Amino acid sequence: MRDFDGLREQLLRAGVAPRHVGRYLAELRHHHDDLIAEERAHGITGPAADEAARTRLGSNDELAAALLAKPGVRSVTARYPWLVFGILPPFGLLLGCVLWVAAMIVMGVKSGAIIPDHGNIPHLVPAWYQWTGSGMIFAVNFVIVPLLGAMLAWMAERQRLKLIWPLLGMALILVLSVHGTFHIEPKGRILLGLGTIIPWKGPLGPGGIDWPVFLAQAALLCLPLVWLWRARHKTASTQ
Amino acid sequence: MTNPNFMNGVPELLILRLLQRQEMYGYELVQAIRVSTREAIRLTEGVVYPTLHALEHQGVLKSRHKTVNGRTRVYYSVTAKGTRHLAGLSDQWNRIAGALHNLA
Repeated sequence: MRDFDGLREQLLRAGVAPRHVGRYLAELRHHHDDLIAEERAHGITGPAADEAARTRLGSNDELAAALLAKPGVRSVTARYPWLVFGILPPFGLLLGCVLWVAAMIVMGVKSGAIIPDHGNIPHLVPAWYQWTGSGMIFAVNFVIVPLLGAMLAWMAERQRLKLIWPLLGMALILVLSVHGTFHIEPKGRILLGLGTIIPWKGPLGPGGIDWPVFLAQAALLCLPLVWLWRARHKTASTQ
Repeated sequence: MTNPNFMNGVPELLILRLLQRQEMYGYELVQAIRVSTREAIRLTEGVVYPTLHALEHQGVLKSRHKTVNGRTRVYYSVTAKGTRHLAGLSDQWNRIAGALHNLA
């Protein structure tokens, strides 16, 4: 069976969307098998049949050029990596956190768990609300952020993009957004915070950086980068 | 015939004409092109797929997976839009062929 790995790499590096590459290669494989069968039927076997089938199917360069000449085959990730890796992840995560904070406030007010403008009147925040807030913050900090990092690494590997792009996305996630904090002070005042390495005092909380959380997130984000680096190393060594 | 300028639009016309008769998968289609043109047009066989995919994307072809003798094939056929598109292309080519015939 003909090895199409070289063509796959060529197309992915040229920015062709993986779904187009997958479909193209699957049909080329079937076609190659049919050509081999035809050659065998004509009494040509072994490497000669394979060689004849390869010649009829076309060289990698011809096959790649034919697909690249068609409009709309390049992926969004390949065409706009600055958007996919530079803008969407941090702002998407930031937007998600803002929505989460809004949801916590609405849920708290509606349920009576928090009382707006209560001044210095002591107010006991119920345990379920504290647990919900803390649980969701934990999920954002240690599940969503690492998953987002893994997704960026996977997308970069899938399209054979340079390592700089997922690295940029992960760095921006860490620097611009988002590690959340959720505190309830003794008098019942609730502090919902979005941490960032850039000091700011937003309306939603104290801002500032929680170094242990930040370092833990950085460590978790290194895992997909290590995986990506190893995948690249493996691909390079097999070529 | 392999000159890309003169071949412009020819594969599309051939593909649509052949697929209008019956649905076919890629290998079958390439062999049909060879036979129907008496090998006057010989394609590098693999390059037919990007054209098929592009035509499908334009809505003039549709595809379906079909398992034949344990092998999955992607069969292509012409849509209603493809039939109208083919009529337009055929008119265009008939005019060109007529003009060339008059020159001769």
